[in-house]
Amino acid sequence: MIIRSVVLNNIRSYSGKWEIDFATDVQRNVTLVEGVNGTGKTSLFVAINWALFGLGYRYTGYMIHEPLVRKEAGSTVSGSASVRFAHNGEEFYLSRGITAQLTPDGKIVEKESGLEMYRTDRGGNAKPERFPQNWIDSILPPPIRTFFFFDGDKISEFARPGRERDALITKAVNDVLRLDLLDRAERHLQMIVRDIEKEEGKLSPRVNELVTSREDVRAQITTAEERAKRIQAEIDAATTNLGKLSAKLQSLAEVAEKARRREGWESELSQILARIAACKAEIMEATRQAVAYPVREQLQAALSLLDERRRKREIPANYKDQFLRDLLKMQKCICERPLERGTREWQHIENLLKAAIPGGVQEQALELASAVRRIIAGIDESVSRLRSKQEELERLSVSRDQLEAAIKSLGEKIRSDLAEGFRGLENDRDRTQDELTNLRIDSSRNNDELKRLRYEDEHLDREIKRESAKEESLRDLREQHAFASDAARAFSSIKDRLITTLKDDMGVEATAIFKAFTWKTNYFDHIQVGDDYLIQLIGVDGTDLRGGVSMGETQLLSLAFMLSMIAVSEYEAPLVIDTPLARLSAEVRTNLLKALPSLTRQLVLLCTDTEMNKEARRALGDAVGREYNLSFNAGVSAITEAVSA
Amino acid sequence: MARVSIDQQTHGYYQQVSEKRGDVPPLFPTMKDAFMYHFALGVRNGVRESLGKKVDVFQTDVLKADDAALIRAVYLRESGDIMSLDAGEGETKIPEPALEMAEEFANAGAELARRAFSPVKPEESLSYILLDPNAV
Repeated sequence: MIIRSVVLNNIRSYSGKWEIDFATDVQRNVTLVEGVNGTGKTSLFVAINWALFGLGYRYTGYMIHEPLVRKEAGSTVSGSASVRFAHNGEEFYLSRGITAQLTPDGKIVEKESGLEMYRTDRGGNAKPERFPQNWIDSILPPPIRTFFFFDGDKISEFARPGRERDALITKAVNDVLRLDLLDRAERHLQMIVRDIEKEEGKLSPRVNELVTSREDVRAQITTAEERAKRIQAEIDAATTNLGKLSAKLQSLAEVAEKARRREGWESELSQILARIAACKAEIMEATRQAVAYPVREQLQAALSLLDERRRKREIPANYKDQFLRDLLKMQKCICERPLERGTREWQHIENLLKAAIPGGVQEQALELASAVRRIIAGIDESVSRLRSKQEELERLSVSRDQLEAAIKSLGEKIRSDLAEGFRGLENDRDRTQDELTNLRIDSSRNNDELKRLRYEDEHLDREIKRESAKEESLRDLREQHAFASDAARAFSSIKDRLITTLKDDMGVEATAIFKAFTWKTNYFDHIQVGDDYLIQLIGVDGTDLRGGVSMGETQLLSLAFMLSMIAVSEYEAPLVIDTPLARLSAEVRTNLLKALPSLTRQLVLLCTDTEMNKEARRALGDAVGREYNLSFNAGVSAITEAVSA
Repeated sequence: MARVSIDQQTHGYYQQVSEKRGDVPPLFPTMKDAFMYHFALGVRNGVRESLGKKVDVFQTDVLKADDAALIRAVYLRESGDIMSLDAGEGETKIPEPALEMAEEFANAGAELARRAFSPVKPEESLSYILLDPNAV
């Protein structure tokens, strides 16, 4: 970057529009701005910084021309700072605006009102840039610009350790060495390493654990399969048993056969009972008919009595009595001899007739004899029939008893068969059926468990395959980890070497610059940029002389350090220094001013009149291309271009 | 018409053996049949017993010829006098004393039978009593 001109409009102590052109010639590259204290040097320095870098640049007071705002109370006051510069053969115009308003409580509120940039390429084509600040930052990164734009009074701080300074220098070094790229690469690699480590954590080998789990599951599968076989065997046994029981139950059909047999017997018994009843009736009939049997002897005796009378022809005596009555009537014997009344024969015949059984009795006796004979004749038959019936009844009774006993026995057998058979068999069958049901439930559960275990086994197989793949990934990752770690270490090492080299280069540059500035060339040997970029002034005896140097020398050392940074950075930008020579003695100042123009492409010095005395001005010689004097009148700075020396 | 009587003490027994047992016919269809049975038992066993308080059970006209012949023959045997057969003008040709004798034999016979009678096997018991003198 080579600044061609700066235009200020109502900025800081500058009211209205002020333009200042900068020396751009290679040989006459110094722009010298002189002014006593309070004439606007720092305002110009701040305005240039603000124009280029915006409010990010720290400054005190307001950017707007404050008296104008207070004067125009109630109105919004606008201001701007514009910079024209060249960079890499292209021309740039940059303008930054600001508005300000006075608040009722007397404060001023500023607001950047816009930033615009036009870029004119080598062909003369100008076009606005959409992101002007990015352009500026890329041309001169923020940490680096500190080494180009600085307050001379404060550069000693670069020689003293401090958090802010360290961070700034580290950042600047990183920018100079493009270490950000290496840093990003290293961080990226470290991130990759961390990611890989996380992945490694995720991929922590589970294969062994899974294989163990799978072995457990397979053992359980084997157990469950054996159990399934055992249950199936029990189911088969129970089923067979059930079949047998069912067959036994079917065998109870024999009971029905017994019942049929009993029915036959009962029918037979019924017939026998009917026969017995009939037989009993016949017995009674025969008994009644044989009622004469007990009195047989008496009947026989009565009949004998009657027969005796018959033998005696007392019965029937009808013909004999008639014959006797006829003899008496005819009074002659059967032999025809006369039978006379009163004779013994007559008397005898009359006695015979008197003794004769009356006819009625004889008839009854005959009738009775006949009846008794018939009765006696019938006794045997009736008794025989009675005995026959008794025997028949006895046989029937035996048959009845046998049948009844058989029927009873068969009934008991049937009842027993039914009771024992049905109850026992039913109990057995129910028990077996229950057992079978339980076994089937067991089997179902076992099968479910088996299914689950097989699913788990398959799942574990898949997991193991996945984990094995992860192991391969892990091996890859470990290789990547090793590679990334090595690469990160390599980047770190490269960065360290670059920094070391940079420090060495800076040391060489700073040594040369410092030797050009100082008069104590015999006392020190070289400048060494140590850790944290602290400058070590190494004496000829190899000791660090920094503890014995003055504030001015410290300022020189810092300047040398900063210039060395500019030298090694290879950035091209104007070196703009506000009050660069305040602490320096005449000789040193002369040395500095003689050396400084050649150490940078463009040099802008904002000096007080005491800094830039004649001797100093002579030291600059023809290097000054543009020279301005600042004045301050009625609260307003003014710039007047001086005649070039 | 003459009536035949039994002792009142045997009347229950007579009723037992001569009445219908449910659907089963009576052992003796009539009192006369029962009377003749017990008369025969009394004769065979040679026991006679005068009746106490008499209960008329049938008239003599229900006696059949054989029944009357039995009574008369026994009476003839008992009296040994053929003239005892003279029944006079009686329709049954059974003399009054013969009837009285028959009642006494029947009374004693009924007493014997009642003791040997088995209500469980009435037919068998009555027939065996008839055939076996030792049964009573």
